[in-house]
Amino acid sequence: MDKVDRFAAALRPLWVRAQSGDEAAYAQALHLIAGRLRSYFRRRLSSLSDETEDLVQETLLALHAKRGTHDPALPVSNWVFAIAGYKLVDFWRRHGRREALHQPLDVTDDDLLVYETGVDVAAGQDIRVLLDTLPAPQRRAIVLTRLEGLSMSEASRRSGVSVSALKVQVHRGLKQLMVMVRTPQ
Amino acid sequence: MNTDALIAGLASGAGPARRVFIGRDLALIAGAGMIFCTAVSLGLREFVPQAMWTGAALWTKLAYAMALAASSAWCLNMLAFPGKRAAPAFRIIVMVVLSMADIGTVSVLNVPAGEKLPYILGKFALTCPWAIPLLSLPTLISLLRLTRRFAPTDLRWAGFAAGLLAGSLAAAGYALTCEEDAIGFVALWYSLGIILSAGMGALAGPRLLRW
Repeated sequence: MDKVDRFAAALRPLWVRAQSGDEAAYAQALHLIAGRLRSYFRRRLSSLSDETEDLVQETLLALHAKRGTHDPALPVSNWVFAIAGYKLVDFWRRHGRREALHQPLDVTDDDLLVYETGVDVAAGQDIRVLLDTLPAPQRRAIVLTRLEGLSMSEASRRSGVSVSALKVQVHRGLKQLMVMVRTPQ
Repeated sequence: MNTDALIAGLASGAGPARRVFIGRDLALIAGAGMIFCTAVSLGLREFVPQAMWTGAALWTKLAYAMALAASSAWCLNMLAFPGKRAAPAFRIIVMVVLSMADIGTVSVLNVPAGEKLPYILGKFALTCPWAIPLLSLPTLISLLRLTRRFAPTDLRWAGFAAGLLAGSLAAAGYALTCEEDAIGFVALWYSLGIILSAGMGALAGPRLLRW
């Protein structure tokens, strides 16, 4: 049985009880769903990992508000995933609009920040100056992963910071850098 | 707010789920829409001449419109609920449209060569495809508002199905005042009018059906 089947099998009996008014079973079912949603969204939102939990909560609220729309003849996991998929598309649509004003960090910045000695010394110095304005953990995270080109796990071993914390630091640091580059000095 | 606290909040006092169904309200809106479209058509134009009640054209129009209305109502009934399959309903819709196109083509082929164009254009070729979407608009808006209360997850297709249903009902109402008696005319211009309504629904769906 793969992950999705196991989830479906575990959820079904809980859900039947939950729908007929068993609140403990309902809470348990929602926990199970939340865990499954977390990995579902995380896989699809890799660059925006901070948003995952918001989306999990938003989807749980939607499932709760619409629980009368589940037809018992239909597997509850299908119903859950249909709503999760809808919330994901809705999220992308909202973000597409907002993000279009910014310019996606992860695409352009990889090209902007690759550090090659001797290629463009002035640009290298500019980056150093900008980096020095960042808080130390963010600066270290960016130097290790973006300038030295280490993988996340190598950088994590080198700095003693967990991979997920590193990702957040890189993301926030790059965002901060973009803001500074955009603001006319 | 952390997720565990959210779950505790949702579960406490949740009680049993109350199942919701769209069928009754869908039938009510469809009936009201049909009456509205008939009333407006009759307000603007005369009832069809007595002779048409015994001809094939009027009944073909009504049968076509009602077949499309029934299949698109079924389709919307599926699309309003997460995880339900609408593909079988869409297949029926396509079959209805293709059958009408087929009957229409045969009727055009039976007309002598020189009269084909006047036969297809009739007198109202430019009225019918605009009148149907216009007439369908109030029904379409009511259907979208109804659908939004449920949980559509494919907003574009749900909007399309709502538009198709509203357009079919408008076509049925319109047919009662439409003097055109060529089957080829019906196949082309009625279909075009209904598809325009469906297109309006598909455009409006992603905006108006969000929940």
